[in-house]
Amino acid sequence: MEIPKEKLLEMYRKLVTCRKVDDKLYELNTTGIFSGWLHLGAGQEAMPVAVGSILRKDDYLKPGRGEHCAVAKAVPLKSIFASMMAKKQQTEKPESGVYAPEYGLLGISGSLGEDVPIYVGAALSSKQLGIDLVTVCFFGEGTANRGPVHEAMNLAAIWKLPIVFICENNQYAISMHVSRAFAIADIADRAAGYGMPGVVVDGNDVIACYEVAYDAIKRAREGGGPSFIEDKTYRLRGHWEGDPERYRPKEEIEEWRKKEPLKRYRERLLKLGILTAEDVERYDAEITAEIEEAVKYAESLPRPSLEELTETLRL
Amino acid sequence: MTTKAKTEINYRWAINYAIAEEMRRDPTVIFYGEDVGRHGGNFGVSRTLLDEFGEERVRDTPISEQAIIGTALGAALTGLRPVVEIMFAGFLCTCFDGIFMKLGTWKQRYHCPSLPVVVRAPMGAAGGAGPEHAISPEALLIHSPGLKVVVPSTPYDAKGLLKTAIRGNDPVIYLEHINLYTRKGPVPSEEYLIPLGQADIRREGKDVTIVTYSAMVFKALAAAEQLSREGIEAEVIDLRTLVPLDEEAIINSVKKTGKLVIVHEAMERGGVAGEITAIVADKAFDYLDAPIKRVAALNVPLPHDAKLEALCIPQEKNIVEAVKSLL
Repeated sequence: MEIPKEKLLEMYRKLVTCRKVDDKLYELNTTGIFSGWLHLGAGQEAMPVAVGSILRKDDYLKPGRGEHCAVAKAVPLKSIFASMMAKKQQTEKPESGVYAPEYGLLGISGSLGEDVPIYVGAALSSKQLGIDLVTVCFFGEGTANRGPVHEAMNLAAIWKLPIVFICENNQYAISMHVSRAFAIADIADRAAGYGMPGVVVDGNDVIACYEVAYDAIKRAREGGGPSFIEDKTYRLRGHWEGDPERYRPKEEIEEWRKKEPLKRYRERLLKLGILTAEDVERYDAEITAEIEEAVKYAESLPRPSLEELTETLRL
Repeated sequence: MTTKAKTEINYRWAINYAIAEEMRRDPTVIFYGEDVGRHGGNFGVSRTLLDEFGEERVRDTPISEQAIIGTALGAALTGLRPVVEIMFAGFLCTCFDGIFMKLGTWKQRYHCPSLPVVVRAPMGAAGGAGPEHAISPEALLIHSPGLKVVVPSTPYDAKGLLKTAIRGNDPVIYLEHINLYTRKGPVPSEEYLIPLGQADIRREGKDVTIVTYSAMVFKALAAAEQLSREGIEAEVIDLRTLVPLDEEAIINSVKKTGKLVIVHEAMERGGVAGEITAIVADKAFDYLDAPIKRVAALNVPLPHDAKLEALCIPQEKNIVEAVKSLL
């Protein structure tokens, strides 16, 4: 597949942004700028970045781990940080890294997998209303075993809905290794059981992710129905910040760190001459500045008062 | 097929007409669930809908309650107004996360401008179908922060409330009672809507307030007739909706009568009667001349036998006894 240079660079910038947003959230959380549990996603950026760079602005996207999908879909960074800090957002439409309806993010469920049918509902809507929007729905391999995911996939298949299911297999559901949770080696093998095509891809190879995602999204948009992608990747950080990670050996983490997506992609683009060393430095500086600006803006926003908060939360 | 002008129709048709009228009026209203299309619904409620609206707007689903509820939420966020049916209210348990936690909190926590989902489910003891088919689970639903809960008793209310629910922008759980499907009542042929949160005083009286809803309304009215023959005039209030609750109607009545009996078919422990008791004890304490009485089912799974079931749920005589115990 011939991917235009601008697209390759767009994806590079997004990958760098994902990683830096991840790091920045860690910094803000540990320095107490915001509280709450933090589930970061370093190492799993390739597929979300690829998908976000293929989809149209109003295509629907259920985010997976971390803020990668929001970044990839160009949800404003200030919305991501402002919502993390529980600020009263000055826009009329509150936005976050998981709920940004202008960009097709419709929220996520705290209990994993309960939201997969929600995004199938979005696909149902677009088909019903005759709009050629596509829905892409990310979930982890742990979530793939939940009941609603099974029901949702079957329903999408029988109604031939414009949706792509992407299972990010990062090898661990907290401490549960994928080999202990599945009697099969490739989760994509389940796709045939639902009557949809399934494919496995190296989830740390941005170009490979782009190619399979492109085909699946095109199929959905042209009325070819749902499909399933399993991208094999790895979670470089703990499941949550503070996770002692006693369930996996340090050597394994280091092995995967050597083939992590950002490093690989940067080296590949440098080798192809699409990126230069100056570009790398320039992007690094630009993106760092963008993030700083977004954080400053978010910090400047007020917190909602209790009245304002309960008013919006009350039926 | 047009809605025929009728003066008396049954509850089942009242619901059918409400859905059909709203689907005619608004092409974004869709309807789906198990056996609702070709079969016309397990209780025959949706008999005419597939013929009129076609397979894209009236869909049969597999046995997939979690997908039914989840897709309804997603569709409602993205331009449709789904009305879905769960075959028995007891089966709301199979998709409880989707109902209680997702539909019940999504709109508020994400500040969605609109989340128009109506979930219809038939509940109630109807001849020994067993606990999972007969349970009235409304107490669980009122405890979710974001669900409206509608419990119509008459065809008139069923139609008006359902139309309002479908036109509204909040998730509504609409609990029909299985025993009421064949009960007839007057329904105007002109269009009308009933706002949610308005109780109906079915019978006025000065001696005791009976607050109730759904099928129990008719047992309460029968009890009130019996009491009247003995010189006791009961005021019977049909709540019609549990969320929003018409607290004012309840309190105004208690101020008049000084005595309150709350009746529901659902189990006593943790039932809606407890919630109403707390509200009245707080806001109308000075007007009470006697303790508040609850008449509700025994704390048991309802038996798989009609006669045993009848012993477990409130009957007219239990309501009469409860009223007399206050006098």
